[in-house]
Amino acid sequence: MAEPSWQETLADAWRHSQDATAPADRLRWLRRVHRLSPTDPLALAALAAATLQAGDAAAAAAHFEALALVAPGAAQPGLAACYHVLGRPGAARAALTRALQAAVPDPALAEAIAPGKWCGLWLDGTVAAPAGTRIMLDGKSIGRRLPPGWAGAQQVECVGPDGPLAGSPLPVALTRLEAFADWTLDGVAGWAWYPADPAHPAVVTVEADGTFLQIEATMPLDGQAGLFRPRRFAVALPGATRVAVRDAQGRHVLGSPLVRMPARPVTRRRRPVPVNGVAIVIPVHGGLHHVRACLASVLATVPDDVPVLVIDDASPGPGMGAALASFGDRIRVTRLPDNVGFPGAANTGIRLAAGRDVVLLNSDTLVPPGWLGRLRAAAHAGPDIGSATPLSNDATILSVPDVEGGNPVPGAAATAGWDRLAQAANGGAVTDIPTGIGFCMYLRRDCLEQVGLLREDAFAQGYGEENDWCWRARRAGWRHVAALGVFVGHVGGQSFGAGRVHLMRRNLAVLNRLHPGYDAAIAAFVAADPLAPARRRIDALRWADGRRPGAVVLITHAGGGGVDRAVAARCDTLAGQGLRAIVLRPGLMVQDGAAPGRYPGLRYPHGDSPATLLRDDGVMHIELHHRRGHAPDVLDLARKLDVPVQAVVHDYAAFCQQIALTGPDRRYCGEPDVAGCMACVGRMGTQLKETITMPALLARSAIDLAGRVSAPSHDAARRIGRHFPGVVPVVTPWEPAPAPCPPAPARGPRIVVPGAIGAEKGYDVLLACALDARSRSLPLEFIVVGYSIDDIALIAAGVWVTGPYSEAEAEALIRAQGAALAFVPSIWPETWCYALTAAWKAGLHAAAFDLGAPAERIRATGRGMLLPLGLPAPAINDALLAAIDPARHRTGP
Amino acid sequence: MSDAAPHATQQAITELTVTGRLMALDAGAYCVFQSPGTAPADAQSGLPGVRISAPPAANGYAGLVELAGFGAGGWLAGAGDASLIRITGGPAQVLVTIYELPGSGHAAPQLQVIRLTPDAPAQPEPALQQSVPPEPAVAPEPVMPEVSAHIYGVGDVAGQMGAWIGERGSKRWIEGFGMAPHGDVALADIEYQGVLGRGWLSPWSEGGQFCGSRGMSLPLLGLRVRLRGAAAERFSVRVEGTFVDGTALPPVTDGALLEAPSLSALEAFRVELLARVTRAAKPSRKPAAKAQAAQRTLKTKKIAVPVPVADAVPAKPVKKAPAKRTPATTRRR
Repeated sequence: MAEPSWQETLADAWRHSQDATAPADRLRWLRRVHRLSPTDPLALAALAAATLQAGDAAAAAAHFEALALVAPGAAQPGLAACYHVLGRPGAARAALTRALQAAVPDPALAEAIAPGKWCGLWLDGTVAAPAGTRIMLDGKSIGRRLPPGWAGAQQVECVGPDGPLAGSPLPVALTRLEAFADWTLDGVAGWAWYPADPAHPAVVTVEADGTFLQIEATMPLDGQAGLFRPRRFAVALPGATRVAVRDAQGRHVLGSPLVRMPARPVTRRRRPVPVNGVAIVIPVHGGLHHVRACLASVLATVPDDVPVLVIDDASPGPGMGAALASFGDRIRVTRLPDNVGFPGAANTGIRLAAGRDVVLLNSDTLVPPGWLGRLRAAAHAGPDIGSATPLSNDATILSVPDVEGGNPVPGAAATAGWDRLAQAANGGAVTDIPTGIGFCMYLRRDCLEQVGLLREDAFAQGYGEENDWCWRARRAGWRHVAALGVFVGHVGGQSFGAGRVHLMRRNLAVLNRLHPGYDAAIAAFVAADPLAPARRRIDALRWADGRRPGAVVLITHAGGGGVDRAVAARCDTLAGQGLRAIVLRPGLMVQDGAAPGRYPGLRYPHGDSPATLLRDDGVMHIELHHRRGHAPDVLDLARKLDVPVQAVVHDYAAFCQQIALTGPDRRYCGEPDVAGCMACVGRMGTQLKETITMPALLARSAIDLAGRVSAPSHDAARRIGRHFPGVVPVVTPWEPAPAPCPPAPARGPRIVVPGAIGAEKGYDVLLACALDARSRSLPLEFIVVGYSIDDIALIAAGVWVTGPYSEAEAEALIRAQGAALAFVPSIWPETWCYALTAAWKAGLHAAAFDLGAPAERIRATGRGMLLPLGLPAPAINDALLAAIDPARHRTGP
Repeated sequence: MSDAAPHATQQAITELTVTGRLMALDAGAYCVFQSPGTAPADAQSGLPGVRISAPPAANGYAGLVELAGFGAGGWLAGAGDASLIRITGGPAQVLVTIYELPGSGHAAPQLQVIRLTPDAPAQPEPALQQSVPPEPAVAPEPVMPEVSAHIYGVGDVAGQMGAWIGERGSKRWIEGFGMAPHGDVALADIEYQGVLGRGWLSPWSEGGQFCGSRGMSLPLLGLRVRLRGAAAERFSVRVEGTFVDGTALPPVTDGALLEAPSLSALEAFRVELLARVTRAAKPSRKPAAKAQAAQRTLKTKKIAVPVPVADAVPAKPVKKAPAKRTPATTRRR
């Protein structure tokens, strides 16, 4: 049974949403798409537009506001329309201004919101504005048509008789063609579009060996996502070795120029070079705000005799020049007339720094006090070190605290704080790395003299040129190191917009062509992760800040679901008691229950133990919630800390290798004897993520369960007791029974099935019920509030599936279905069942099989009905229909 | 009754008809359930409701009352729901309270009490005690049932270990069953499963628990019974049965599965405990009143509340029309 992937499920829902003709139907499908892919701006934009079309401007505004967080420009016209409909003229005008600053104008919308008082910019450089408007380009009065060379300008201001018009100032950059080019086997291909006007023809000029071609990008582009909707172009240029692809203003697009060039071996000899100190080279191109902060931090932290060389790579408009001028003669500014890209700008600076070591520094960095001396010491820690790179929040393999990235961007104070931690944790230590990282790289002059400058011909606008340089140096015998006791803040991801990932991918391919084995070396470094101890030392220092008078260690898996929910609730409870909840996940990953992502460096693979770290936390006991994914000896920690182990029952992993007592037939297994379990493992394998025999599992679990044991239901406690004689778990319900409350008025014989409906949660039962209801034309409607292992099959059988929900919205989403009853079709003896609580909170009674905790809870509260396990679908449907006599569930006045 | 509606206005207060009874029970385990056919509860209030609780004071009785399987506050869920009362350490009183909406027009809930195990010999049957009018005493029951079953078209029946439960050749299938052997076997030491389909079993139930269903026409296709703990060391358990397609299977022992190759529905079964020390000899443990045991029907006290004590005559099951369809095919295989 091949279940559809999430992508297939999403694609199916999207297709339905596009095929739906009835607005209500379309809206329903779009809601589902949005739940399946909540961060997809395209889905959100479509949902917002459909919601506005359906007349619910308030809900549409909420969707557009969410869209504005991920795609600010795309959200503004819709937001302006919503605010206009909602009678909020100030907000509508502000949104209109943001819309006009991001895209070509929609005159109808603009006229509705700001009649006669708005301005806009067309892609051809024509200004849209009412008669009598004073128009200025970067402060100089002009006419409606922008003067030649306007593409390099910054902004257009439009002032009417009553002041600036809505939309003013208009950034000239909005007219820019976004495009990318790369080699193909026999020519060049790429993509292009105008984000400000996606429907506008996107034309590029291709120059190959003196020939010029104009090509319009018209073909669909594979793999595009969200609101990034460019079109593809391709041209055969057999034999071409040098190709330029330019926009209408003659500017190279991303990836251009393309040059087929061989690797450039180092031919010069290595020789001692007198070093005359160090210079800092900072290429800048736009990003005024970051440049100011960067320069301020540099000037505050480096000695006066260190030259600071700023290379302005043709920043648009006059703003950058003025800002740089404000730093006076403490910096030396070189303005390039044409934009040459990062490698060219950097080389300009390196040339200017002749005779000195060079720190190549991105203009979106922040440096802490003392950084330069320590970085320099690292670079000179060995005679064969060619470069040194500090740690940073955003520096690929040198990122801290999380090497995977996503770390918060620090301000000046936080940068200094991280740097102090790095220094305290790692001192002057260095570690060899396969390549330096260009955001802040200390290049030694002797290495520069031998290896030469960065390549300007192979990497277009940038990315990869510093790696190429490092590998050329490697081949000449130089090492590159990370300075583990230095931290430099880095905003990162500022350049090249949507084309960034394409440029990186292209340049990585170039890099591998020039330096075969580059990718493999990086992959090997990532796998070995030699910087892990350095990151761990930093996080261990930070860990001390969160200490409380006592602590409890919770060992659990990384599988999410109900176990995680219960563990999170337990963490809250412990925090409420003034204790620190320490969560230990597979890979001996130590987390603070109050802030799970805060200490990503605290991993103890390869036989290391977190015992030393935790010794000062005052651990009182260890709670064993789940062993799945952990090494068999995970409880050695209890011995090392000399604390007792308490076990918490979430499922039956203690004696069932499928965890949920469902066998090969996707049915409750009946809990056979050990021989039966061994046969099951032989047929189905194990879900425990370890290889262990059944007798060994049972013996180990008996030890695990030797101390205090708790379980959320009597049923679970009894079941554990049956398999482990003498074990009497304390029953501690996960949640209190919610107070009875009336449901939303039922809109027909609807039945909600809440939760994530997998095989053990009764997927097969639900599908059979739906098919039976359809074949007998029963007036039953099933709605999965949540998702299943095969939404497509359920929907084809007549079930509606909302898509995933967050815990917080469960009750409202169930209520919104107008159901008469909930159905929890679990076929395994669940130990608790949060979905049942959600149904009760929504005021619904629930039907469930007479099995496990749901049965126990329904029996205890009387809020539902029990069906015998194994009841055939027709009989289930008959019972459900009998139970939802609408008169019984109607709320009173 | 202000606790029923704390924020209600004066007009919203509903006066209920409440009837309370004290039921004196001797030490032992009892199963109490609302008879099928009891009127459905009101959706808003859940009334009529039956609540079982310990009285405020022991009132001269030595026993301890333990309630199991009741909802919060001791509420007995609707028709067909069964719960357990366990009295230990001597006789005790149990408070039975019925709450009804006035003018509901429905008959009062009918309660049935089955005694599962005696803790002392020759116990009198449960009696309800109240101030006025005094209730007639209950006739003593010589033998308590040890095995019960719900049979399609018949209802609940009961008998002793060693006796046939269900009627062989009747073509009426068993929907559920339970066991509570007297004497040497602790309730927790016997457990059983029903067969739901090929390779598909119900969860384990232990002594005193009902396994299967009631009134859903859903047949069991077999069963397995096993002993554990001290009982397993002393006894072997043997089960045999017949099926609605005529299959009659020889006995199986100690947790082996009793199911027909045809997956036909279970019609009748017999459970015996055999002492291990005399394995080759005759069963060591016979029902106390063997002559009465075979095909004995249930010793149910039908307690029509508020007329608390009904006849002491064992209730004859009401025969219903036999089934028309063949149940063996309703399962997924």
